[in-house]
Amino acid sequence: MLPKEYLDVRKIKGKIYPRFVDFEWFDIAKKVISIYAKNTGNKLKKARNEVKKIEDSENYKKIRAFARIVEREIDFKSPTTLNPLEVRKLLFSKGPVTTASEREKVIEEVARRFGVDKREIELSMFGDMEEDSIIDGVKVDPETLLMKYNLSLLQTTLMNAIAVRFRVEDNHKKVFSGIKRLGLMYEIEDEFVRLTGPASILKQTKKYGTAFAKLIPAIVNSRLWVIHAEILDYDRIYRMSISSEDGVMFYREKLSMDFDSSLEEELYSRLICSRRDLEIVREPSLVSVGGFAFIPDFRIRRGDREIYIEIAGFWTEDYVKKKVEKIERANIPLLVVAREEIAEKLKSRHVIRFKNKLPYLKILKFINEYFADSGGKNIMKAEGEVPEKYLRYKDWFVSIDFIEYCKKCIEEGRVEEVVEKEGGSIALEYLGYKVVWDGLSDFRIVRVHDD
Amino acid sequence: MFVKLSYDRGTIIAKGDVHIPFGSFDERVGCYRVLAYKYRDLVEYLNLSGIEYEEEVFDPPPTPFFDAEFELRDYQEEAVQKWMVDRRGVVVLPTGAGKTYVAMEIIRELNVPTLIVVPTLDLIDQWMAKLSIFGEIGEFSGRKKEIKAITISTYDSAYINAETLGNKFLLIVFDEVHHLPSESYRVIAEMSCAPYRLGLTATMEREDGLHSLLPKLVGGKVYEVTHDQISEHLAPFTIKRIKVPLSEKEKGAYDQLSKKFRDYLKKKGMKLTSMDDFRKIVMRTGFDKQAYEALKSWEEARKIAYNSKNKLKVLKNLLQRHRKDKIIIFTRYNDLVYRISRLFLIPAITYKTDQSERKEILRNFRRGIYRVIVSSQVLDEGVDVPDANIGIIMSGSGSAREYIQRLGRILRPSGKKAILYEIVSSETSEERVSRRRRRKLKNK
Repeated sequence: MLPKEYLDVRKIKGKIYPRFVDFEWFDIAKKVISIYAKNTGNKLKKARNEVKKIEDSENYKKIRAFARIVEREIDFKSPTTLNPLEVRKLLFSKGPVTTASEREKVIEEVARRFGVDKREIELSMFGDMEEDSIIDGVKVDPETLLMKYNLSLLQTTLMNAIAVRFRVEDNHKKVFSGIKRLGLMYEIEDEFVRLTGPASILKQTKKYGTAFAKLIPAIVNSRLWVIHAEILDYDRIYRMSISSEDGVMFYREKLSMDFDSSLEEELYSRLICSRRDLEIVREPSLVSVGGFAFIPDFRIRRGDREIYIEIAGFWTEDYVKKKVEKIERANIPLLVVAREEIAEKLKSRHVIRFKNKLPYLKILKFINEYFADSGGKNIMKAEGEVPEKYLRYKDWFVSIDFIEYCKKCIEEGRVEEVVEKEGGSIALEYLGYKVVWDGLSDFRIVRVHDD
Repeated sequence: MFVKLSYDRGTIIAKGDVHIPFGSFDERVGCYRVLAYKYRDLVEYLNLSGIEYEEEVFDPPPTPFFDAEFELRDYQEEAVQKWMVDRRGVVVLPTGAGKTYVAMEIIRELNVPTLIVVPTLDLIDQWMAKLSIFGEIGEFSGRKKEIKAITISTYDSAYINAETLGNKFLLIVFDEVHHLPSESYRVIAEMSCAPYRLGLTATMEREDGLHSLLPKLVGGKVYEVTHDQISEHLAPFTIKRIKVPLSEKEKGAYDQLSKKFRDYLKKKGMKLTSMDDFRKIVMRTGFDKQAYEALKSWEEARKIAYNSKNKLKVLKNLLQRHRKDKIIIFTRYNDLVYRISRLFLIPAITYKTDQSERKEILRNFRRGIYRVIVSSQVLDEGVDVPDANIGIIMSGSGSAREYIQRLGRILRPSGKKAILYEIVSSETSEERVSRRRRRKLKNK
């Protein structure tokens, strides 16, 4: 994050646009780095003065911010072998002096005491001051500098936010554990998560700005993300929007890909190896359960067909209760791999139990069956035996999962989705609805009464 | 009709089937939510309305019996009595009048878990020394995170941790309370449930007018005495101003630079009368090339005035004249502090000086091992420097508070006569600043 005075944004018609940098700034970034690098062996003060000289009214905010970021990536060493604090103490105990000759005498005396020459005393008197330390190497390249600047600028902009809405495609667990750790509150609004703090409904406060800013690295680490923020500037509220598709380069902090448990890691690598045709996403987008976020461990998808996997490993009693409720209410195709004592409490349709070791083979077998070739379709002409997970309706085999999916869509008022899908009208008919077309593209569904 | 109150990160949640005033209904959790500082009003409302309630709001540290002996002066006694009427409000006392004792008496009488919020780490140390007669005191700051029956914190730490501290104390004392209304610090008061609140300061007013928020945050003014009313308790002092001309070379450069700045103002039809006008120019530097140049010139001109060679000569003369006295030199510019420190071999204290060295310098100054110290604004508020009887101001902003506080620094009752020298460059903007300052002092 940057000091407030380096915040560089444009405000137009109620919107706020941070002035992010792109490769146009490459040369200036390079220049700033080279000034510090060139001064290796010199005092920091000297490099700072040289940087000041390349400032002008157009770029001074950027240059000062660049300089600050570069200084975080510098190794320093002390200009003296003496301990400056000890040198000062001795000097001051003999002060104050008011003439040049008095001063000379004291310096000489102290130099003798430390066994060095007078110059060394002058050098070390404040040798522990930041600007007097010696540059010993610069460890940043221009591109990284630009990306770090952009991340810092976004964070600094959000320091003044009163509320943030965002969505991410993966990395959910990191983000949500961050939300919890930072003491924020979230509400789920469709695809988006709205973040505020406890006092937000009582006053417009920037108190949570720091927390929003700290969450940013986790969000931009996601493959796809969108952020909308409400920014308070004196007494006016501006809006800011940015997404991974805007072409701004952000520095991604290396977050270790740590799993909640080694179990998941093992399962992930096995799944990847055994079925290359499946799209496997860890911590996939969240499922809203009565306002709470539920983030399953995996989502496996091929074509239209998908299933989520949740591993219920070593959970505490309390956690199990909360989690079970969430799982029951989640209403998504879900495979729960649960330890026995937890499995007993579950009413879900797909449960694989285990005792100590994760039953990889059982899971793989389940996945293979679930995504068997016949399994890809919503609806098939009825021929021969009814396949597993299908039911017969008139001349059709209809996928049970598809029926479930349609039910959910209708409940949530997303009828268009059903109608567009292959076999959608058949499934609707099975569920007791029929589609009535009011025009070329307008339609509604009507419940068919059994008279 | 039943309500259960609990504390949640700086707010109070009310669960029950009753309407709750002072806040609003929070859809996110399905019950009423109120900012913590409304706790006292809320409980009063419930009592008046005859609504039964249960509360799990406070989580205070265990509190021993505060037993200590100390004497109060009559005006301190009076201040305590006035505050006790409503157990809220601000006590205004001039620097050096012993504000700490007012707080100590209140802490002793109420005997409840108490948080004291102060501006600097130096002040933590100072309060710590005074309060230790009550037993073990906690420090909640950047250095330590303790919560004890009596805890001292800085405004910064108390702001960052407002949610955690909010339900731990029943009495909250704000030292130098004029800091509290700033946009961030006020959260400390809003997120605290403490029903009893005391503010202490020498001047309640703020240039930005935000002191109007104090009645809401701590309570209004309950007691005030002026410097003159209690002057017998304070040391007498005289002010001597020394005008110092710039050298020929300095003057040439200064005039050229300040003309650039004035021309810019004239061109834009702007006037420089308050900090706000100044902020406006700073705001413009982002898009106005000339504003950037003008401000740069102004900064350089100021630097010339502050660093003028002749001023250092005058300082040298003063140091020679007062060979026996204890002297504090103030200047606003860190560069100048270190220059003076190097030149005269005088211990320096700025915001860069680390805590242990700062403590040692002040201790040695108190003991007389160091006779002179030089410092920038870090010492502006409340650092106890007993027995210093000479002050030399090398620079400073035009704010009245700063001036009063700085005077207060050497107004310790020490028997000796105190002198305050002010070294100003003649015919520069500094002179105007100085004039503005004294005018404010007269109006007090």
